[in-house]
Amino acid sequence: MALRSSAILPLILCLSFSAYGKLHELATKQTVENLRYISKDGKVTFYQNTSGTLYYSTNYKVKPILKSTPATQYNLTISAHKKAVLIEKNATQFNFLSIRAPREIYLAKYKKTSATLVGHGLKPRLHLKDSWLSYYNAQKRELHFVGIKNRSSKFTIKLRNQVNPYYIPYVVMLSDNLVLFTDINIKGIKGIIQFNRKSKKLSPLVKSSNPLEKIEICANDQQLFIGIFGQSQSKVGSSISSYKYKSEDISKRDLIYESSLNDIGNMKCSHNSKLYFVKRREKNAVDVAVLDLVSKKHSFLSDSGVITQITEMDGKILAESMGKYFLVDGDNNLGDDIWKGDDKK
Amino acid sequence: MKSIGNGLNLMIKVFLLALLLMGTLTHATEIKSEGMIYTLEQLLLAQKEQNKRLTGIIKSNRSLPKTLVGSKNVRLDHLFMRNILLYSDPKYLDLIGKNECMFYSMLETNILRTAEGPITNVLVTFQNNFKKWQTTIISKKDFLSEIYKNKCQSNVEYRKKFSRRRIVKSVMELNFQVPKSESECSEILSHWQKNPYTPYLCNIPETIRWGKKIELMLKENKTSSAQKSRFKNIVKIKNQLQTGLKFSKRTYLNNLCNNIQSEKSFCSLYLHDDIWGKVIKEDAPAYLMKYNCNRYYKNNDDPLTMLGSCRRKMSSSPEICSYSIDKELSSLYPRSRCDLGSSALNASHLITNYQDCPGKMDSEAITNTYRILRHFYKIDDSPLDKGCDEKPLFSFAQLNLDFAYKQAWPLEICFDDRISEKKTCIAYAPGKLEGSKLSEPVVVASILKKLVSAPPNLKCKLVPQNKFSSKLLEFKIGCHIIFDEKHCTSLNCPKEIRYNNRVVKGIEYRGMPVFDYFDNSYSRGKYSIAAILEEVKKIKPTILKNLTEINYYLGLGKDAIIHGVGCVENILPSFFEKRSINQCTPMPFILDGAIKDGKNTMLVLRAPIDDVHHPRLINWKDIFTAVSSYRNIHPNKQWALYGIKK
Repeated sequence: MALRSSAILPLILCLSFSAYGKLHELATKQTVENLRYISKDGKVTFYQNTSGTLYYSTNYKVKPILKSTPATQYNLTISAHKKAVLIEKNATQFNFLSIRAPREIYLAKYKKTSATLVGHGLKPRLHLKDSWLSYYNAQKRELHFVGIKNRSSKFTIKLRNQVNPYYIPYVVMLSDNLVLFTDINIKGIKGIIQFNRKSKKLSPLVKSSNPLEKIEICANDQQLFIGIFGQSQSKVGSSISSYKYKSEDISKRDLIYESSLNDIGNMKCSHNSKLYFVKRREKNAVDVAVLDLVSKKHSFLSDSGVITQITEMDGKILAESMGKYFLVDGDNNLGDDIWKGDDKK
Repeated sequence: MKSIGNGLNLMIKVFLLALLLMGTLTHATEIKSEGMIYTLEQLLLAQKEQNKRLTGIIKSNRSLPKTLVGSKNVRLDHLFMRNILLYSDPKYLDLIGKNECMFYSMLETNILRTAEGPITNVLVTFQNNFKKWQTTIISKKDFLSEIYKNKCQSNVEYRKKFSRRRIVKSVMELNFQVPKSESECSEILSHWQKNPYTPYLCNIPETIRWGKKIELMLKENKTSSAQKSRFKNIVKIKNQLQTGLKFSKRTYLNNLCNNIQSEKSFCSLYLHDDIWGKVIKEDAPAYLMKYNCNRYYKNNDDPLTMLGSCRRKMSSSPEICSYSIDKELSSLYPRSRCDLGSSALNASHLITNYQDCPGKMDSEAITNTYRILRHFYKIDDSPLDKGCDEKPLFSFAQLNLDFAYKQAWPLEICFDDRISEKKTCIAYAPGKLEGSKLSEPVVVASILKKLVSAPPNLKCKLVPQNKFSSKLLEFKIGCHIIFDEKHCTSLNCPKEIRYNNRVVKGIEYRGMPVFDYFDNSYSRGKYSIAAILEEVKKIKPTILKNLTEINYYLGLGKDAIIHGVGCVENILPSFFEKRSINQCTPMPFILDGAIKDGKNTMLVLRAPIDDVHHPRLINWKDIFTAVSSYRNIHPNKQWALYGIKK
């Protein structure tokens, strides 16, 4: 069974140099389009097929995690801690085109193949070393939080936003009691709000100076990053600030990046000494950039001018352009092809 | 800055006052030596004194006007003149100095005002039979009759030409020349500044503006019974002018009269190549601007007359289009900037003579399809006055039902039919649309007739939960469909049906409008929206794979547009973030124009989550990436970008 299943993994090894300057195209054993996650060492893969099944594959062993109707799509969220897997399942991805329609959110343990439904919403996230999960219900404008170890620990935050029906908030948990999330007020101004679970109090932490800015929050285990990026074509500019935090104590702001141009942002911050984001090179050109958190210097990592999205996957930073994925940071480690025998239980 | 501006206006007024005092209207012998420049305090004090004096004169000298007859030395009192200069719109003050007759026609047409508003009586000084100067109050009409006996007789002709009976015809006969260059514009304005018709013409926008204010006062019952009949008459004149004069004439007059003193402001409307200028010159349809300006002039029932000032607003602060908020017409926020929106509209093809509200729709495909239908077909807008979400839903449902494809419109209300003893389901569209058999209240009423033997003339009403109370008399009889407004979306809205104040059981809402946008052979390809548009509406598709094909296609004619499906994260990356590999939220879209910007080609994007009147300019490479990413995850590796035309 395990050997036969290897036949469905086409061996595509294409370490081609692209027209994307220094970037290599992502190389995988699996068809890239089917891939949903691959571990740094290349040993764990999640992928799906067109018949609507999500698979977990390791050491030539393939097991389905979720089955659904043909054309069902899955998105996976796996943090650097690799304890939990959040699966966003959309069975009507191609025949009910709706940005806000809630998807089914499932939770599975990393390296386990059973998943349970935890809610309905969008953009699930893992927090505090995979001890909490959150997702957003855009139709009700509610952020839902669920404890992973103790599922009965649940709470909900209602957003005030009435200005942008397509807004999806950024959210981080700094402790079991303290949540930071972004919201929009009645004047279109974005802000970061602190929610204290004990006192149930909401208090503003950061506010944008005008409605044409967006605010992003990104956190790793030690640092919190707040990015403010101009979101229209007006000259608003961009900035990134860092804050050290320990439990509920947040240090003073340290401005680590500033630009007069409106960057796209989409910050990725799992790495302890680097922060990746999409930076504007000129009016109609954007590329992936890296910010050294110690020297506070930044540099471009691509020169195509058309990279607008970057994603993080177990230490790899991937840039997407023209329908292809490029490796910005990390290795194209495909592992070896030696069968290690069945895992012992 | 404002106080400086006010100061300058004051200076101009004082200067003009001095000019008048020295000119034909003066009676220098009566002027006390107050100096040329007064302080504001002095002017206001003088104003108060004058008001007192006026009141006194009105009370004591009512018979005096008769003694004016035949007197050649009749002049406006200098304090009354000061009142006029202080309270008339400063933009018209330049005209006073042009010639004396212009002054009288301005007085006649109510362009000049005092603290009390339009002038009905004037304070005059005249030489009596004993050659002594005397001051009195007479009606404006009598005063002008006296003046026109000796001078400015042409004004009498102009008065007739622009009388209520003839004004529309006279204005329509005039040539309002639109300038093509700066020098020409300067000449045109100079011509209007000297033209004796100008006060009569500027009376038109002033009357419309004044009429609107009065109309509001009448509506709010803020007028005395004595004022009512006079005010109603002004409103009638306003309506006559609004309906009788063409939009372009009214816009021209608005711009002329608002900027009669400023060549720069007057010309800016005509000498810039933005879409707003084209609309004003009638080189582009008014709807391109009308809906935008509606946001800024909410209390104005005729925004078209405000287009000039709206354009100036959008030109001077282009961000206004991005951040102005309208919760009722919610869409992706912030929107495109005014100047970029203008560039996009300049290159666009899509017909958008309507307002939809994407934020209220659950399905972007329905909004996109509706926009395509509206581009190719005229759809009656009249029932849309009360909402902007029903029409897309109803149009979409009808499109599917026209194709006799019930499955594509699976929203239905079901009940156990006692007569047929079967579960019976009737197709409906959520909400109410007059004259449509799909209308939810119509369908529910037809079911109640069978289910609870309700009378044949039963009509149902949709009632928000917060307005419903079973204790109120109005809800005790009849059929009411109760819904919770706060938790409803266009396609997801649980309802409670009540008939004669009792909850009706056995009625069930069913279905979700699940359908393919483009053909998918893995499911039911021939029933996709693209296929139905082709079959029912004869809209022909052509696959487009590169920029050359796109440019060629958009050049085929005004009705040629492009529609496609791509990942929203690639189309609008600063609004939507990708967080995992192969994440893609498919969004249909329309492209209806292209602009070359340096090395890049920017396409005019009508995203179904954007306000239809605020297109964005998107780099072709982003569209290519979005459609490619969608193809990658699509079960059939579908390339979803098609040109469509009839």
